Amino acid sequence: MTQKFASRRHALDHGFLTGTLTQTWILALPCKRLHGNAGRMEPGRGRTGFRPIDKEVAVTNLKVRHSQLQRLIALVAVLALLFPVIGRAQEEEEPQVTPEPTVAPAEDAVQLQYWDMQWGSPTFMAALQNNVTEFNRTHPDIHVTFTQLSWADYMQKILSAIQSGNPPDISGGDSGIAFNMAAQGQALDISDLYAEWEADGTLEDMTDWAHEKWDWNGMRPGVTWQFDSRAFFYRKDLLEQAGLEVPTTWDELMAAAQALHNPEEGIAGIAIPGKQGSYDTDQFWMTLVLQAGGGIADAEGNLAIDSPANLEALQFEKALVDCCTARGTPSWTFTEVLRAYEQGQAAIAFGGGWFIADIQQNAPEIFENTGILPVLVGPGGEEAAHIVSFANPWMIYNQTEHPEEAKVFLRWMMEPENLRKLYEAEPGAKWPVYESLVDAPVYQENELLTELARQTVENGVDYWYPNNAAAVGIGSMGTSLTDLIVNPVITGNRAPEDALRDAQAQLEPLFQRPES
Amino acid sequence: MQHATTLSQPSASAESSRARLRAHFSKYALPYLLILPSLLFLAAIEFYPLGVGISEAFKYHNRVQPWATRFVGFGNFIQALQSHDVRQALRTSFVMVTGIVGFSYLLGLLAGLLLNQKVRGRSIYRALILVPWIAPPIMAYISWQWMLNDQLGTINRTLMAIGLVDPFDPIIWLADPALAMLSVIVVGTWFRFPFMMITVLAALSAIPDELHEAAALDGATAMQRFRDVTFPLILPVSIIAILLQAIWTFNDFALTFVLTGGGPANATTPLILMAYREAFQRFNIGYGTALAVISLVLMLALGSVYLRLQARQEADS
Repeated sequence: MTQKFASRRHALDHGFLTGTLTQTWILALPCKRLHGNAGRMEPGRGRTGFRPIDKEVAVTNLKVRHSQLQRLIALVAVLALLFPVIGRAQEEEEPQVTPEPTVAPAEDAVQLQYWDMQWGSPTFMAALQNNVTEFNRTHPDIHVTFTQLSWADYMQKILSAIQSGNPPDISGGDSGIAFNMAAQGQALDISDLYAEWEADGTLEDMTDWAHEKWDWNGMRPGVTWQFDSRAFFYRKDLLEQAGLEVPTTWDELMAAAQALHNPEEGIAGIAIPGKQGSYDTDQFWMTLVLQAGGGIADAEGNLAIDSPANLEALQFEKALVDCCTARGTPSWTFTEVLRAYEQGQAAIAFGGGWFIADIQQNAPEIFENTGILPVLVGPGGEEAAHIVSFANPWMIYNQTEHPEEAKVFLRWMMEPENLRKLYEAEPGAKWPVYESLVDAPVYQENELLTELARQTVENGVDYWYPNNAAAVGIGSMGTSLTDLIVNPVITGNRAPEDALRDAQAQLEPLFQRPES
Repeated sequence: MQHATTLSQPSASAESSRARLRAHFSKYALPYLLILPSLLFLAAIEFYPLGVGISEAFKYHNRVQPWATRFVGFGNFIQALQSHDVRQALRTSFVMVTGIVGFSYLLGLLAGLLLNQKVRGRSIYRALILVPWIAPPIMAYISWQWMLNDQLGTINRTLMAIGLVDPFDPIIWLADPALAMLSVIVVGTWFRFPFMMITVLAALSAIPDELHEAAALDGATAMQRFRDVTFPLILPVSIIAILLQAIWTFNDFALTFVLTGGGPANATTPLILMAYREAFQRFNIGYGTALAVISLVLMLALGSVYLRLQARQEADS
């Protein structure tokens, strides 16, 4: 996911500096050792054929060598320090949206803390900050302070803040955060906001899954503000050369991948992520699961991993990997998938919406020949033709001292015009929750953006679909689907049936509910 | 009478030990008072969290199932020790520690011996060899991950360019269980051997040159001088360095987390990574803490060996 890469880079920047500074003390060690040799013997003279070196000369020599060594070490350390900094400077784009000056809070203004993730590029984060500034400017009685969280440790920070009784008033997070917070009694029920949105027609404009997902356990713990969508990108030119139609079903996808797979030419039929411990890996399988009519849990909220539909999806993925992917697939994340596609080493690639801008920028020739496959029809039929679109929420915390003001802020942020500004900041990285925004200029820039925006609002659902009774369990699986099911199966270390059966047994405790 | 005597003896003894204790505290009241703030600070940031952590290991505690939290005694430990995955993770940890510490010591020893010679540009080499250790681990591991990429990595590209690898059949360094473990050991060794080199260099420079000269005069060959003079003298320091490295390597979470994610098929998942996944991805604090406590006990065993050796060295010196 883009946000994950971005946050990893961010963590690197900070980690590098502190790590280097804390470790440079050790450089003194070899220098100190040089002093230990002062006064040693030099061969050729003296009582036993050795002549004692003049101690003052030796010490002076050592001091000179010491300072030379120190300079060298310092040079190496500085170069090591500068290298990634220079790299970053070249790599970073100039933000297209510049942050506006923040507004000073009025004396009697209610203070709100808003924490959100590092969702993308500096441009996007500047746009998010600008929205907050705009809110502060237009609502002088409320002042919101925005704090950016890193993907590396956001959950630890939020949980620590909750534990110490000082959580934010409102936050974003991963696509299951509102459920997890609700399970801990930390999410404010915003049903009254939903009632207002229903009354003013907002919900009618919102895609079904954007709001149905948060109808949980008699409350509404959050609301979706953006989708993060996945798609199949394909090379039109290669398909055309092979005389193939654009695949619309699983069988056609398999046939196309087989026909286009050409290891001698260095082209994989399809590129997908498969690395263990990565959130990227299970997203391809979950796309297939949804299209097979399966899911993680049943309507009662019980874990249903070991189901015939899920097995069919897993067997299909295994067959695709065996026939038509690069051999290194079990170590690939979306980064490797994207690179392979951009370098012409994959005919079809499963990736995220951010692929569009990246391909356009880094491989313009391939971009001209790239299309997005229509939503595939699998064993689940037309009704199950879905893509994975993570519905990422905003939520208000139960401990807030200003629930009404927090709702005012949330309602304002959710206004289509304000969301549109965010979507425009980084085309392709965030997908609309309002159907009316599909026609926004940002999604008309090219046919890939138009297609994926359409697929998102018409077919986008996520892991909590088709029901969310098991919401908390699904949100606390981490990378279990990858680690227990997908990676062991595609590497050939587990049979699909065994992997699903074991996963069912291992993950069941996460799906306990109070009444059981 | 006998009965009365046996009762009064312990009572008198207890009284006298209490008196000694009182005398001790009245004599050393000021030092105790002075170290009290440090003790309180340590208790707050070390002992209290450790105590809470250990108590968590005896509970079923999942952050998102607060209603299910309960005391389960040794249940988490029994579950862990019966788990095939935990046993595999322990094996993986053992292989990693043995491989990385073993190779990094050998490489460090070799580099130390070479750089202890009077060679031109020795200072430059010493500084350059330190670079892996200067680099922040996460950055180093991510760089290695890219270099080991099967299709686009520098290593395969170089091997392809010189004709050692078929471009259509690249080496899958991180996607094959055995090669992934080898990669982890190579990267771990690269990162850790400078520490070994520094330690060996320090020990080598403490050896008086006269010993080598005397041995040489006695007709000892270079190999004999290393075996009978150099190695025995650097051995105590080496053992301590090896123990420290073993503890650090066992607890090195970032190496496999970044490089392989613990895969493929759990082939490179050490115990510490498994504990992280349980506690912070599945929110299973109780079980994750139990795994961490198992790790702690194993490290305490190594730590106690280290302390004993250090105490012996201090006594010898």
